[in-house]
Amino acid sequence: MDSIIQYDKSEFHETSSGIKISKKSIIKGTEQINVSGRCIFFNDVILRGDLAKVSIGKYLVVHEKVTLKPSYTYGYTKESPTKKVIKFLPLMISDYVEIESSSIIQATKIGTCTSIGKNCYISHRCVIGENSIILDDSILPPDTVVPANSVFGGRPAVYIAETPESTAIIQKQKLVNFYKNFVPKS
Amino acid sequence: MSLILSQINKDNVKVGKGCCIALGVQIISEIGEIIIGDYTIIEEGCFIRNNHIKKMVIGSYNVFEIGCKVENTNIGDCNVFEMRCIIESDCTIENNCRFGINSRIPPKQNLPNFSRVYYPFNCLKVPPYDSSQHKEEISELCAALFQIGSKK
Repeated sequence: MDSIIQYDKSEFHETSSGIKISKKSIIKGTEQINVSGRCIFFNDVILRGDLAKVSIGKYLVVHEKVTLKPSYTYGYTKESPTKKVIKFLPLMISDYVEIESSSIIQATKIGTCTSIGKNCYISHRCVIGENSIILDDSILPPDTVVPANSVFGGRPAVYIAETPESTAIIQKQKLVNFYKNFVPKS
Repeated sequence: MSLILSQINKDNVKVGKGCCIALGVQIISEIGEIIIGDYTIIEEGCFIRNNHIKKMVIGSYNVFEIGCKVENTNIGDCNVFEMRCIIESDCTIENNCRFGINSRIPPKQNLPNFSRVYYPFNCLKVPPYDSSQHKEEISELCAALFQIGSKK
């Protein structure tokens, strides 16, 4: 059950609040990115914080080659209250989320204790509820709302099943153990 | 002026005005040139390559979304290439086409105006329409991205 993963200390930055970022990832606009703590970002992750605010919870694990990018919409702002203008929406990722490799995420909100599979395409302005699972190789068209406690999958993604009530506890334990076992080589 | 965030060999690649090229983009031109038109948006992780001696022309008002892969094809105006589509070598693509998420086009195809390609390999044709709204939206997006990118 407990498999210790050892990483090379020269390949990862570690900050004081426990965030471990690979040196091969591309992160832009760090002034607007707000991470609570204890997150792991693997190789080739692209995270664009210069377009809009990005706020990330704790115990997030982002695997290889994931792109996280805020999406945009047409709306009114303070500077132009009468004419519709392009606005970039902030990206909110809650606690205890796991994102598997090669996914593309342009959602606006991801709820707590969710897990997103490999090669997923989550399009603009999606909202993903808490305790949900998105299966591998699924495509979510723009503006979908995934309700809480649901399993979505397919191309295009549809509702498949309901998750049991224990997914929150299982996901929390899994990610806390993953972070504890991610240890530098001595 | 254009906003270029990744490293491109500027001798062989010519970029028009108002373009926005994001991070992690690889534009490789070994012998022939690549000429990109005005107001095109090339998002993260795209891969554009020209293996021939002849030059490769990409038109104006195109959108290349995240992860596209284009090799050796001449492209017209006002096309949209959605996420992770792959266009293999020696195709020609005319104006106003739209390629769905994860679609693949085999080599040596000619796609006429106003065609739509969906996953896995369906190709439809749509009645012609006026593309001026598309051009307005893309030039607004380019202006917004350029404003954010040049703030620092």
